[in-house]
Amino acid sequence: MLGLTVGGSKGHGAAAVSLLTIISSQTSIMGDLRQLLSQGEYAPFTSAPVFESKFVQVNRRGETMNIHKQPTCVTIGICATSPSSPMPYGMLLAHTVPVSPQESVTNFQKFSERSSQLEQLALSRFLPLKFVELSVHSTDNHQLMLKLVNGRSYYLELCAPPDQQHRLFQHWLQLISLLKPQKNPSNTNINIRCKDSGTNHEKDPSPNNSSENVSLWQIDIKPSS
Amino acid sequence: MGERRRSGSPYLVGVGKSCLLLQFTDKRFQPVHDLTIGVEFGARMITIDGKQIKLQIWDTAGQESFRSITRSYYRGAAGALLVYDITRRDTFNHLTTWLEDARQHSNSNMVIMLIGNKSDLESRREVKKEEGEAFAREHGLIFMETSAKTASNVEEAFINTAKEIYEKIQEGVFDINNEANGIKIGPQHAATNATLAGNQGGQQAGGGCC
Repeated sequence: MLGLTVGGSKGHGAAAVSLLTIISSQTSIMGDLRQLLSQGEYAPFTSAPVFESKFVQVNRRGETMNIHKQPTCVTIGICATSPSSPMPYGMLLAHTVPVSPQESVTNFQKFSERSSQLEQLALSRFLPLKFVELSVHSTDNHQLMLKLVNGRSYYLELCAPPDQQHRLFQHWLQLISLLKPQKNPSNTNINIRCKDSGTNHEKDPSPNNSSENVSLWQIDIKPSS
Repeated sequence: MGERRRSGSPYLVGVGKSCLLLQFTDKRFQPVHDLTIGVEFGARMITIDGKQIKLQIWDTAGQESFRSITRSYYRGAAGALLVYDITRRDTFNHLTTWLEDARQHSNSNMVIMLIGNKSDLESRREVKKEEGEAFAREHGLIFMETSAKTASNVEEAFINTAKEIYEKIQEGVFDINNEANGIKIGPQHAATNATLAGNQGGQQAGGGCC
């Protein structure tokens, strides 16, 4: 259970937990997405504060989705409009792409020493948070559900070293609480309980939600019929 | 015709911005495509005047409900492709509004190319090529008709826009030290931001996703 203090009619603005608080709790080493943005290639996001994590895409049952025999990995960042803004505004999605021969000698290369020098991170989507609903899919498996305004749902499992996984997932839970619209206008200490949807096996009949095999960033993957 | 309804939204038909981007970056056409939400990014390396240039393309949402979001992305762009659908007169009629929006919220030097997409659907044409040319001439735009499906003129549209931007850099019109202009100089090449803007089209029954 997470405690969230909401102040007056300001709603989000007075939340005790802000995006900046969550970001400051992240390791001081700049993440891959933040490094990419700081290069200035994506001008509006160059100095935006970002809370980022790597996820692997899973289906509703929590099974890894392998596309071209590779797990679908995605880096997700929640960003604010500016360093002075404490409230999250948008979601950035990035994935690794092969480095073209022309680019391999330039400064657009991914800086991470750990990763293959044949790959670099590239931004694939920006989603304003008002078009996104982030919720917990499975607490035990550190899985989130991302639902877009067009009805598509994606299931994501946090990718992190085992010793950091739980702590990092707690930050995502804080973020989810922060993004929830506040219904209570008075100064109240609201406890938001994380609803765990578990690993539901039911099939949704709606074609909009049949995204079992839809990749979050590879738009050539079609939903299973 | 090989055309199908947009998955998830049977009555929404786009002008083909996402399909143009996919054809340019991946050299393929995807008949079924989700409605663009927010921004989708694409990039491709091209060569102009012997120099490597990375085109960074922002594919924006065309639907009216996303309009305010789209506005904020013009500012950092060096160029924009304003897209309409030659088979739907309403998308052509809305160009003035989109152009005003782009000009109002962008760098005054931004290169704008007008694109009449779906040129392969000649039998369903509602906007004559001459009308597109006249609109472009009147508003000082470059003009081209394209087909994301057959790839006709897609390369040329993006590359000609990039060439126009490059010429402006050479002429000193763009301040290359100011990244707000959508240009970033790297050790080997420049990265140039271009934005895809255009009418999504309203509640329109019938086939065609791009």
